[in-house]
Amino acid sequence: MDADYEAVIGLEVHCQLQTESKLFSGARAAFGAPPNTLIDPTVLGLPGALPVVNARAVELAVRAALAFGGQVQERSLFERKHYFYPDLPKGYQISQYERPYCLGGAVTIDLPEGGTRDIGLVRIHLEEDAGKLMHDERGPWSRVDLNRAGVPLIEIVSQPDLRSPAEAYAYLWELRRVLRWVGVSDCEMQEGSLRCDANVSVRRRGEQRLGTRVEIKNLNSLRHVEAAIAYEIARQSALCRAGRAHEIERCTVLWDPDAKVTRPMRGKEDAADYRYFPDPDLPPLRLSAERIAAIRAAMPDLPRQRERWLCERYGIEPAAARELTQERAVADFVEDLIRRGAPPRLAANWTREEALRRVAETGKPIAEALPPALLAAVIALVESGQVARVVAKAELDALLTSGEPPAQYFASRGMIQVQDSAQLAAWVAQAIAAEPKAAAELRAGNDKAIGRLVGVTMKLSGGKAQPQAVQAEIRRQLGL
Amino acid sequence: MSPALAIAEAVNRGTSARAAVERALAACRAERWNCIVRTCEAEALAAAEAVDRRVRAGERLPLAGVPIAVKDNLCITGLPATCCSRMLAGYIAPYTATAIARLQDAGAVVVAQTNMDEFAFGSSNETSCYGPVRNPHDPTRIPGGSSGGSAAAVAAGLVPIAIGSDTGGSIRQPAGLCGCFGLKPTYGLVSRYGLIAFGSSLDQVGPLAADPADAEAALLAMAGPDPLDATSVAWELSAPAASLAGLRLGVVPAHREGLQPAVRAALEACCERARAAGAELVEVELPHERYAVAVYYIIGTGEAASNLARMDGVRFGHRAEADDLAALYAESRGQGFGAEAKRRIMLGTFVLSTGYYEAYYRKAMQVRRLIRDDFRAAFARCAAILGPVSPTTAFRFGEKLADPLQMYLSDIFTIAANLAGIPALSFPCGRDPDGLPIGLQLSGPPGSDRQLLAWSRALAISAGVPLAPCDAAA
Repeated sequence: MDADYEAVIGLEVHCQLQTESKLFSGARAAFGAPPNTLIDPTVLGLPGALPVVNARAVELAVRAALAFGGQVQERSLFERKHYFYPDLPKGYQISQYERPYCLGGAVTIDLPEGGTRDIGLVRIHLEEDAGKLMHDERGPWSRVDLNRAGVPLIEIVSQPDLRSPAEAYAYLWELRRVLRWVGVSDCEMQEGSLRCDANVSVRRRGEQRLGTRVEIKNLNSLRHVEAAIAYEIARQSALCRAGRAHEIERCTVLWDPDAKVTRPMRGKEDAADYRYFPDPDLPPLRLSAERIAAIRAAMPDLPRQRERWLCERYGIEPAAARELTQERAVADFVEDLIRRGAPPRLAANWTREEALRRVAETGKPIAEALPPALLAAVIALVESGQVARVVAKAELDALLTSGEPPAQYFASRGMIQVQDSAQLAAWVAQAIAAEPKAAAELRAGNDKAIGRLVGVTMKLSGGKAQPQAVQAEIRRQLGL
Repeated sequence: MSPALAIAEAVNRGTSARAAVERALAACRAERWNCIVRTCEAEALAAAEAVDRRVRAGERLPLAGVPIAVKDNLCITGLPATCCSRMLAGYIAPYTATAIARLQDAGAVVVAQTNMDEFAFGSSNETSCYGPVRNPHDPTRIPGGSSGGSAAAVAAGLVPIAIGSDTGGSIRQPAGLCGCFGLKPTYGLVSRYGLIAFGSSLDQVGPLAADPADAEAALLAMAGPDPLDATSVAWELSAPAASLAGLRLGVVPAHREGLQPAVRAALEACCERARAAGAELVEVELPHERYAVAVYYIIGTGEAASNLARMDGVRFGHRAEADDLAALYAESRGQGFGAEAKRRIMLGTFVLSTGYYEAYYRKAMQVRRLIRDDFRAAFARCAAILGPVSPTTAFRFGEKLADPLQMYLSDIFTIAANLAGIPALSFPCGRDPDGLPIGLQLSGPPGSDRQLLAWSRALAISAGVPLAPCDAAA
């Protein structure tokens, strides 16, 4: 971004709520089922079928609103948005329009340059997802899969408060962290449970008026969002600099992640008339203060609070605290280790290095991928010097599959480090005798020479000596 | 005892349901008024056997073995549900409407599906893709609509009870023109799940019967909240008082205007007899009712256009051969819908369009509230309102078909009840010089459905309709 122009970015995020069933019927909501198996008369839009709102979906939507500090409306309306498309069974989508269930709120993001900023939200509304159309390469056909039709969504519309691709990235990162944390959504962009459209315009710095905005669709990952916005800002500001700002058309473009360019959507955008009107099948959605209070009371803390708590209470590094608060289960896991006696920094390190890797590899919940009781015991053995850190790490998988208690596991395999100081003194004396040159250099002040002596001692001990103890003994024997 | 309850009584005592069901099936097969679009022989006989088994097992069913006919816009598992439209040709319902399932649970046996105006759009039953229904009282005349087939089936004695739906008078007007009882229940009293929607905020499923006791039995079987219909409501339907003595009966002076002389005379005679029976007549005003037809044709068409959007040829129903998606929609709908359906879809699309929504739909909703308030005020002064069902008795085929506005005005007295969500019924109350039945309308506050049926029995009896007195029926 140059000094003359600034970008103005607003994001519209669609997020699937993790409910068992769909927004307006009992049909199951899930990802990856065989086509057209998660359906019922309501999902199919069969004649005579009616919608009934899913109370759990409403509860999750309210959670999201409360997590971002939005004002949950006492009364909101479901409306019908009409258009014809084969993935839209009823010929209309049930959405919220004039009266969404939540107004306002904000997402607090970490700025790339440090510090935080609140990105305002315009609104959050509830709506049902459409199905999917798959264009068949083999013939003049399209196939319709209605498994996704009727899945509950919230649409979160931000104010145009973002100024750079990095901020947009940070906004989505934080949004996802919060939504996952409070159990609203799994926010898997690859599976489409989090979808983002970006509205981007540029203007001369200091200008109050907004430039012509372009909407970018087909953004399937956080990196795509960042790259597409960067591309679009560069394209628009180049046109402005060349005095061709008028060539920026208000339009919708698709991000092509392979070519790394945005392309106008085929066909001129119609001035669509969705003919919204309140759905007469659904009474207004009423959310009493009591119900909102009950939902609030059942909510966990928020990731930003926990992040601060990990730093301030336990002295965990900010970057680590941030990583560990991406998932509530992970943060809980770290605190579980600490409660079991692990020093906080070690708990954080072992979680980041070992537990998260296993989660990524196995896809299991963290406490299953690596039981916290077992890890805490391993950390204690390493911390007390009984097992070498490298040994513990190398053996962790085998230890897990063995099912043995860690102390017994390491002991039965001769992996407990020798604590006997007479034995250690003997090995060190032997090593100094074998490496007089290294000993002399060390005495002369060349600290690096100690490595040679440690290595020989370790070899003599068969790996059972503890490196720190060896170093101390070498220095002691050499009178340093 | 009323015809349906007599059958139920016999079946509950051990008589096989089969005889009554076979009799009704035979009558439906042989009928000459085109009021039946299909009979469901195998299903009906199997259902009759199931009723017999339940009775043998000790159950006592309020409608045991009672044959019923159901309007072709209510879904029944395994049977076609076409709304008498080409658009739904070949569509077989995979589930049963709650109202019908509850009737079946009460022992009723569906023997046939009845003719209707296409998608319930009409007041004469002339827009059906199966052709018009003839009025059993005069086959050169219309039976009324849109539940014309259900009304004619009851009037012709094919079944003791038929089920219809009423969006702006579609039960009451044909019941009136065919000389039977027809109740549009309080909005929300009967589940709409499985009723193919016309105007979702106006539609109600209701019974048509030759005897109000049968209509009441059907209503009680169908009524009650349904977890599948978010607009259904629990109402306490207490046992009604039978007598007219002390009844504060409202009449609206404006309702006397524009009536066929015989209809006006029947209304005035009915008022007189009610007074003689001890009712107190009270004049009430419904100042906004004159906007009801206009409001109805905005809200009703808006909702209908939206509800019919799902008829797109993609998943079910008529599908045209087409080269691309836009043509698939245009051709399928163009071929599938009849003229009146197209007219209402276009009207409804228009009133919901950007720029017109405020002027039409929103304003209509505001006036609707005023109409509802009018009724609330009126029912503070009277317990029920007596008036005409339609301005005339049954008219001849083609008389109003070419003039939609005239056709729409035949619902002028029935529409307000749908807009207000109140119960209203039509009961037979005399005949015109040609011998055609005259129906009158009784409406009351929400939840007064059973009470209205009881009073209508007394009023009909006073007009010479051959019914057992109320106490004997109960």
